[in-house]
Amino acid sequence: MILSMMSPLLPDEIVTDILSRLPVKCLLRSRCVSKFWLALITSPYFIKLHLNRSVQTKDNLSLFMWDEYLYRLNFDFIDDHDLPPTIVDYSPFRFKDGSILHGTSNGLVCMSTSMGIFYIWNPSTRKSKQLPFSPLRMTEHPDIFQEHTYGFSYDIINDDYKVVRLVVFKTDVNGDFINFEIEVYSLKTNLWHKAEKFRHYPNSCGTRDSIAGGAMHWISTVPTVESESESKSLIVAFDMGTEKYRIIPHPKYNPGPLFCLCLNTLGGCLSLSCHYCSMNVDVYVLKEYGGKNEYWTKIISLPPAYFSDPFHIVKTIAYSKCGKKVLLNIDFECLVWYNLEQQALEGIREHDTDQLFEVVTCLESLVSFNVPEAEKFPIKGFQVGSRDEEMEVDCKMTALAMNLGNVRYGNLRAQVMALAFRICEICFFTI
Amino acid sequence: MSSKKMITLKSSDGRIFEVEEAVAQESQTIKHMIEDGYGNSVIPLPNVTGRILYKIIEFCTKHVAVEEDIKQKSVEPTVVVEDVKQKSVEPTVVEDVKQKSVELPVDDDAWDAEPSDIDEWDAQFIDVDESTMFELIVASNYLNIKRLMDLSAQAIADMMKDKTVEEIRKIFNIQNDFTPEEEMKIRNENSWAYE
Repeated sequence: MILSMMSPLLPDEIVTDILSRLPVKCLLRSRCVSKFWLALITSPYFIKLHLNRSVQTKDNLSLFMWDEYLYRLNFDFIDDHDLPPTIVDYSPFRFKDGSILHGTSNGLVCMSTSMGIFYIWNPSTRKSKQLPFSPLRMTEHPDIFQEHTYGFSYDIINDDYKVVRLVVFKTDVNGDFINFEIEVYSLKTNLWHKAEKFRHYPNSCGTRDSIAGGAMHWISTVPTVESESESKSLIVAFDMGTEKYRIIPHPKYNPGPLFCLCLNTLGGCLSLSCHYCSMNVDVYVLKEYGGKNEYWTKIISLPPAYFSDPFHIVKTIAYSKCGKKVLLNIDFECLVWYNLEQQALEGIREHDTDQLFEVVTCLESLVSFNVPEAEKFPIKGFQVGSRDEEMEVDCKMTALAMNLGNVRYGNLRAQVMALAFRICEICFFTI
Repeated sequence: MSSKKMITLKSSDGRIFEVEEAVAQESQTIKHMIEDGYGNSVIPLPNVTGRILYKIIEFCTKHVAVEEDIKQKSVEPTVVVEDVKQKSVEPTVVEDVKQKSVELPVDDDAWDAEPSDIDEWDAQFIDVDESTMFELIVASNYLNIKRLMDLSAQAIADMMKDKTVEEIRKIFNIQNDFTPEEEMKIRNENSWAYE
């Protein structure tokens, strides 16, 4: 028997198959193995192949958790309570209190700083892209309170990534509604544009935008036809590709008043947590999204006995790999599995700090951003309209960043900044 | 068992294997040949050595049995050496004409295979040196045996995960066609990945 001293040269399709199973870090290293490997690993075909495998196998899935810091935990090690999540020190900006992760898609994360500067970031390749400011940020209504809701998703129709910003203008934090705007950012064009509004905007407490089927969802409470004092909740879907709206019929709730409704995603499907005043919590999942036979199915039912205190918020995160358990974030305090077969909670994992935290799942991918040529050149100095002044733009835009939420602007400053943003938007660059 | 149809396979080095049709059909390539009418004569596999073909037959036999949930004491792929005067042009191995029956490692418990039992068997099966892994993946690709292709591809990927660039080149027998400057430029684009 002759032992081969050297392995046979593998055909290209076999090399492709093997490489598509590797974690991103190893693939990034392997780019310099040879010219063929570099061309293969950076090709759009391979990036899609690797992504599809990531989606199917759920290998290399991470949990990103954040309070005032950003943490990463390998999904496979959730039950290893001795293994703490690692602090992420390679985010595109210094993560601190007020920084938010708005969503993930295909291995990309949409996040914002505490000052409201937005990034799209691939934590596996550690590449990121800063989004241009949108003119809506500096509004025609400078004295008004703004409430922002965001969605981030891959738009399969246009092979693009979209960020949706929904802004509700109110007189004050708990004040009267004035108006709302909806804007969409496209990664391909690197531009924001205003989308057509729908009459029902998010106005219900505890609602959360949620992505499923390429659409962003929110809950809108409207007065019923019968009486002004009674209200019903509508589930609104905004398709990020077609920018069309529809109302999704809600499930047949149990009798009894609802304390709050919470939208989330689970396994790519829209999920709805119903928190009753009786302290029961039911979780429904929407199947056959967008189809003729679209239907809600109840997958979790938690009686009040599970909780020592009243009124908990239950958010769905992900299915286990075997599909028999659902990971929940309860009260932003702990991660728990719900065993679907035994219909019971198990394996509570408390957060390692005492802070409340939120969590998203993110898979590994090589997905990258195409940076338009114009963005590669920094801009210094421009004319400001009627004031006939030259303003120098700080490259990092920190001087122009505004605090979201409790926004109160003086009129003149707002007008100047609005012009500055519009110009910078055209010739923005990546940091 | 003797009523089952047998298929005769010949490796690149002239070794002859007789296998049950169901086992042979784990290979889509062989399955198509049988459907095209070549199942009654010796099917030559010039791209597969006897050593590797033996292992492949071991794999297919195990998986067919697990699927059919058959209880057997032993499975015998028979190695029959025929008088090679027929038509072969290549030099062939002439062995002792005595019929040898080869016993495969049998784990009786595995016949009632839960998914995890067969996974364990697969893991042991693919726990071989890199060179054999490569031969298996090439052969299973040629023979179009998806389960074995997946198993060997995953095993190679797992083996590669923590290797350095130089080690990967050695394993895959790849020539570095970058200049040192080009390679340095690529490394610097993701320097953190090399730590």
